[in-house]
Amino acid sequence: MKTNKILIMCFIPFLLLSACNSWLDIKPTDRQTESMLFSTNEGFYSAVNGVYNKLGSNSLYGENLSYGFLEIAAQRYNISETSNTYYKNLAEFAYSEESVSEKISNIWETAYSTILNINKIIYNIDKQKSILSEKEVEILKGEMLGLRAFIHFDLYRLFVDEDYNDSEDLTLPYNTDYLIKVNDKLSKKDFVENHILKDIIYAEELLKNDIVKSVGGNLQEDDEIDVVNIENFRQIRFNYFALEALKARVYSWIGDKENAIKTAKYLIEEASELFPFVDPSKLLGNSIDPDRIFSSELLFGLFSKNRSNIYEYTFNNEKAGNYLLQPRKNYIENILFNNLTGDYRLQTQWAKTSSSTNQDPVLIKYKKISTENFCFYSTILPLVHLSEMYLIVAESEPDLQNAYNYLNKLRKNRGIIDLDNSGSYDKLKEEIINEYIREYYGEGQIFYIFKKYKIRIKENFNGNGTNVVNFYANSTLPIPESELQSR
Amino acid sequence: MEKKWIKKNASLNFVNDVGEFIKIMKISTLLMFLCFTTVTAKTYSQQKLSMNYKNIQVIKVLHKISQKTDFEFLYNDEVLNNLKPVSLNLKDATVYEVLDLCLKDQGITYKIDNKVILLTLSSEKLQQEKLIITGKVVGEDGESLPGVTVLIRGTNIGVATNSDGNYKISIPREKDIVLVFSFIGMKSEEIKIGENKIVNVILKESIESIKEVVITGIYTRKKESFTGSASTFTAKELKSVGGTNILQSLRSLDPAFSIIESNEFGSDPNRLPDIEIRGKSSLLGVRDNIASDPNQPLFILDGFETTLEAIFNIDMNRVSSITILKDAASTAIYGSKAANGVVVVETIKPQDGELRVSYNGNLNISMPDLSSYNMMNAKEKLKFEELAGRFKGTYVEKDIQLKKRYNQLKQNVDRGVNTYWLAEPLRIGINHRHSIYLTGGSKNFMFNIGGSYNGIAGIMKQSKREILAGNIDIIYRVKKFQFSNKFEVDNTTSSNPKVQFNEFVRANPFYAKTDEDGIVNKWLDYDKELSIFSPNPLYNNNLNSYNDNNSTNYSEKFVAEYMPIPELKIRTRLGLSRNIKKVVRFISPNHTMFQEQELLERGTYSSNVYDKNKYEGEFTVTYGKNIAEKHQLNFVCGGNIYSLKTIDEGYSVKGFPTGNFKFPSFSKGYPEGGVPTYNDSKMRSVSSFANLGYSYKYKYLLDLSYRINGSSVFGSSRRYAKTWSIGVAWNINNENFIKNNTNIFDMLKIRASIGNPGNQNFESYMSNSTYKYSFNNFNYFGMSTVLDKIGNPNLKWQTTKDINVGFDITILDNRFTINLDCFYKYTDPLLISINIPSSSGTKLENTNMGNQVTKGINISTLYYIIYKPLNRTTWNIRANLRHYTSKYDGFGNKLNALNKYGEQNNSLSRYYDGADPDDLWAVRSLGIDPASGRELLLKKDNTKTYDYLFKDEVIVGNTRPKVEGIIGSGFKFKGLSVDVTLRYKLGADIFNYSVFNKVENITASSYNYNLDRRAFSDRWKEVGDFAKYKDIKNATNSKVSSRFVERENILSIESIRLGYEFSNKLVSNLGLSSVKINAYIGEIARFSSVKTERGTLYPFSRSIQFDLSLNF
Repeated sequence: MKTNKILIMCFIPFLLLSACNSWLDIKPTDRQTESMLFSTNEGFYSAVNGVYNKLGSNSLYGENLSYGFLEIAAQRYNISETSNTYYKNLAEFAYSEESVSEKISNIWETAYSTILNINKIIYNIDKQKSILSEKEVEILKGEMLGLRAFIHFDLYRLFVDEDYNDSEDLTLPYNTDYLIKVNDKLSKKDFVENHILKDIIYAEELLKNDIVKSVGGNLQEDDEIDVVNIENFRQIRFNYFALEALKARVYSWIGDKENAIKTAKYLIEEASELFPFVDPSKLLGNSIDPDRIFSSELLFGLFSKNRSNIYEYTFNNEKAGNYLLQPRKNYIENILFNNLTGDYRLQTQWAKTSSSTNQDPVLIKYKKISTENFCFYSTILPLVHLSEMYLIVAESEPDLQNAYNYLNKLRKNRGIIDLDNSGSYDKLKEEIINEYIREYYGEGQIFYIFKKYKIRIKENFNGNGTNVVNFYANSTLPIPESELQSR
Repeated sequence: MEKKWIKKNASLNFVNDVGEFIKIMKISTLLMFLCFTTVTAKTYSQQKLSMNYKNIQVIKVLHKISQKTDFEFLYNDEVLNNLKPVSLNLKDATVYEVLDLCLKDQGITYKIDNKVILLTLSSEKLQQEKLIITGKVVGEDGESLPGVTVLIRGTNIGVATNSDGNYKISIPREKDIVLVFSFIGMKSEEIKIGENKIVNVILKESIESIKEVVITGIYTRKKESFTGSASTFTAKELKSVGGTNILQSLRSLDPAFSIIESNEFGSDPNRLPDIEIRGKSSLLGVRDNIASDPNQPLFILDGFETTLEAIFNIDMNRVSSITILKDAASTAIYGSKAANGVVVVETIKPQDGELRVSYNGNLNISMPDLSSYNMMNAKEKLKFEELAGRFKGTYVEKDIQLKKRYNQLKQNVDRGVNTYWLAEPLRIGINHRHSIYLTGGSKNFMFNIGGSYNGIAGIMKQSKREILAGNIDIIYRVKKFQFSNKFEVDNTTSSNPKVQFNEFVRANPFYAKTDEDGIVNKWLDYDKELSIFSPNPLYNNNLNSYNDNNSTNYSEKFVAEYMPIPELKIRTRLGLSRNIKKVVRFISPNHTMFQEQELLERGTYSSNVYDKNKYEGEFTVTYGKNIAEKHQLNFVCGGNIYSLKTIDEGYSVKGFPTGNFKFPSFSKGYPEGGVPTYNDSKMRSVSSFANLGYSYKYKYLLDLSYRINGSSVFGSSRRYAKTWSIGVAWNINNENFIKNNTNIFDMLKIRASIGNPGNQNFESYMSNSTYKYSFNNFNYFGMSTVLDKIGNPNLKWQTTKDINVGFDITILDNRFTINLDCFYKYTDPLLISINIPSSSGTKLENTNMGNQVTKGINISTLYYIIYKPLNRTTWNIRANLRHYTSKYDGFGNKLNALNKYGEQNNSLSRYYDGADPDDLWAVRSLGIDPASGRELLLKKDNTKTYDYLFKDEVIVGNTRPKVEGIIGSGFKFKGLSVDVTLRYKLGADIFNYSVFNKVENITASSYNYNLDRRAFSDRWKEVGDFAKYKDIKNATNSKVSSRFVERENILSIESIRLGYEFSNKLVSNLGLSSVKINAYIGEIARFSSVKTERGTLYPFSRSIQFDLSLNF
């Protein structure tokens, strides 16, 4: 009897042990763990929102991948003796200089850390479907998958040369893991076709019911905060049309002209009505609330509360000091918009300041809109326009006539005369590049266009100086130390 | 000694309890008087017995009697051994009749005392041949012991010693008579009587028997039957080598226990030392504010886990013993916390008896030791600056300015300004400590109440540490239960200097402390144009800034034990503790650091409060049995739960008005964007453990341990860790072939063990990913959260494979002891923070990677040159040694970021596979080229170069000493005792940073500070100079090279103790029971082959200490 009792007592601790699993599973109260965050609907939304905010940070589209780093490298601005060291080094492609390499690491690290944030969300959506409605699952997961492809694609365009081929050379890792994992580098084909396009196609499926297809950008007319509403502000979320535009970009980049045209045309067809060209009557001569980013055509942009600071601290030649970004003398009016004084873009996106010493136009795309009323486009950084689809068709169309038609359609809606549609292919290419520059100044796209066309920046493309710049040779950024040293 | 009862229920009971023993002693003393008188049997009971047996054993008859009557028998084996079987045929006989018949002609008499019948050898038999033995019984220190019981083994016959410790006993002249000497508080001694008529005995204090057991905190085992590597130290030993704190003493006693000396913090009383047992098991720890040093051993105080700080603070006089558990066989029972060794501290238990009071007083005088500093005086510094071209301007205006400055300084020097800044913040520290303890109680209820005060002033004027502590211990026994409770509370208040020592060291001697009017000015020199900003350290020191800590601990420990049978013990322990610590720092707005700030932004205040709550519960079952005198079996099993919750809260404010407004309410507000901090971390673990010890005739020993541990620290997928160990040992001295041939061995044991203890001193939430709110980016969609820390749910426990082989030899009547241990620790994988490709989403990851091997040897020896305790004279010498090597592997290039960091920060630590973590890496130097004053370097391919390239780095030394240890000696004569402890450290290589920073690498900014004399005397000045250091005019940055790596050999006198214990007569005249005084001298001398500054932020000290202890 006694022995039995003792035996039982001996085993009590062992029995207790098995009941202890939950006791050991401590939920911290001073910080939010992954499982706590993703246990509520709001948690998912705030995590998704975190991703958008990260994209809008200076390391990514808030500066480097929009008006900053990429535009400086693409010789968009006149970098003078008085500019800061970073500008000077970057304009000379001194990528190994600390001031520049630091930015490159920033881009790389923030992009991949955003991807990890995305992967965590996707993992948790799959894991806890019951917390979200079916519709929410589709939209949120679709957006996240699309963004994952979007970011990876921009990394690819930055860090891998443009020459798309079958080579087995390894490029970048495509991260789909929700845990910290060192992913293998992939070959170009693998990266683009098996990963970027795969994510896009999966996202397409999920976003097929996106409300953007029926009601468009759907920007609200007031700034009331609506936390759970995923059907508002589609323009500043990665919607179905943004996804299609990305797809067109990808095909265009890899030289799959057929699919590029197909996607771009489909998008033009589908979205033109919902995302109409900017209305000149509302735009021109409007000094109260001019829509300088042409928001009616905007398929995807990012919210940026303090967008006007960008203008004040970098474009305003009276305030920016050695951070000033301004194209060289005479470039904008006399070269870029030569004889096209009626161009809406020249009229609304460029202006001279009251400075007495500097009478050249500065980019006012991001200038504060001085209205007291709510004006949603005053806080948006544009990333994808429908207009890009016209250019993609134009550059891919094998039929020159057709190509000119698309280009002229865009030109017409920018208030400039049609081009003679009998020009040579080289002439067309030149015009397309010019159009890209005029259209997307300060948005980061020009870098990729120059890279895609493997160009040396001739005088008429050069916003920095008058000499020819061997851009192509420097168009692939070096992979940062933080990636290489422990590989 | 074995006494047996036959009780009414006729079961046999062992009488082995101390309490019972005393009862028997009383009976035996009574017997002494009675056995020579006639037995007057009282007719207590008239119960009649009938018996009819043939050739029955007498014992059976006795059983029958006790069954049928109220009588109980008390006898011993020897009595029964002499009995022949008897035949009885009785009807209605009385007990006397039966007994008379049974014991007739057996040489046995009986006596009835109440209901107890005592059986003894009859007096005739005893008187057959008598032998008178006399002698003296003394204690180990030679003091005579009165009242010692002297018994003939197996009987109740005995005497007690008189007031001089002498005794006289008559014993039968028989073979194998053994006398047993016993005394409360002493270890019993058994002496076999041969032909000697004078038998003098030395009794050891029973506290000494601690030396013969190993207390693991969970169970206690006889040292003889233990296979692990453990060493036990008594309070006396701890005190013999130092009187400051127990950690310092352990360092002098055990070679495996090391305190990593901090060159920065010197003798700062508020600085907790870094402790290691047998080197490091973790290469790179990941620490948060609650986790402790990942290489720190586990501390156990009275069975419960405790902190280094508690051990650091504990009053030495409360300690009864300390056991250091080193190898896997002894530590595996602690499972995943044991890889760094375990230190088990037991405090003194309450003792029964009359109320006893003891007082300990201690006075310590500390003096700063500045012998390692070699700073320039005013004249030298001015000359040096002049030579370095500091007073020559590149253009006229500047030149004039500089010349003007030179003239001012020259004037200062000429009028005799030569400030020795180093002495300014220092003082002779007077520290004192008092403690008083009361103990007493009855056999069933004992208590111990104590209180202590320890006031440490430190040698820097503003440093202070005061510890007030109190404790109440109670033991209550009832039947088979014992309950004990310990309650402790202590409070520590500490203050730190406002200005660190190095700021005084760097102040230039050509500035006066005060101006002509005796006012301490804010700046010694403030010149914006020349960018010279020399704050007056005295000014900052005199401000009302403060840097104070206050910490209060409560701890409550309850233990309930139940022993249903002597072999079995069931124990439950429950411990609760709480620690509240407040750290407050205020920097006055007048501080020179705020010079450039706006008036309203000056002055800062910060406050942090740490609140730790811990509870721990344990349940154990212990079973020990000796089967047929051959198989000794010990079994322990149990479980443990542990929970620690730490909340730390803090905030800081800034902007204070000048004046005496030093509290937060006077501030302007929080710094911009400043938020209060709040961390709440919980750590929980559960475990279950078992240990089996088996020995066969104390010859062959086996120990098995197993523990399964679950902890919240580790990932949900690897929550549990299993720890095991196997230990074997062979007591060769118990083998007959040794016993029969020689008796020189008191102990000859060979041991070996293997196991895998773990280490969980890591951040608590490493396995969880956490998110943070980003308040800066607020958009239409509301709140946003992003990943903050990325956890790794696959983290594994870090375990160490620990192999230990060793031997213990004691010979020459315990006069010579040697213990040797060789160990091999293999930690694989390590838990570290590594750099990973940033495409994974992060740059740093906590992961399991790499491995580390530490191999080493520890030897301790002790030899009594003179061992005459009777004359109260002993002299011993002791020495110990340790030697380690360490190596890590398996990282590849994952730690390159650390190497880069090292290159940028003049650090010599590098992390390459196959290297020793303590290796120093640098480019080899050929010295200064006499022709150019530039350093000539050796490239990896052994060609010469002037260019420093990191790729030419090689291993140029190792900071770990080849051997380190102590040599000590203790001498005792009558009441006087002397102990000397020397420490030696040989073969370490150190990078001499003070030469590098204050002699060689003097850049433009460092000219503003005072420098080492050698910057003036030993640098290259002109072509042809064979100088040790580069061109005196060269103010460019120097890189680390082998030129500054020096071989360090150290011999230091770690402590000297002089003690005197006053003789009993003198003491008893004063109404005391003992008086002891001790004087200690600490770190009085230190001889080193390297001249480098020691104690840069807080200097080292030398101390003299006086200790008085009184027992009432």
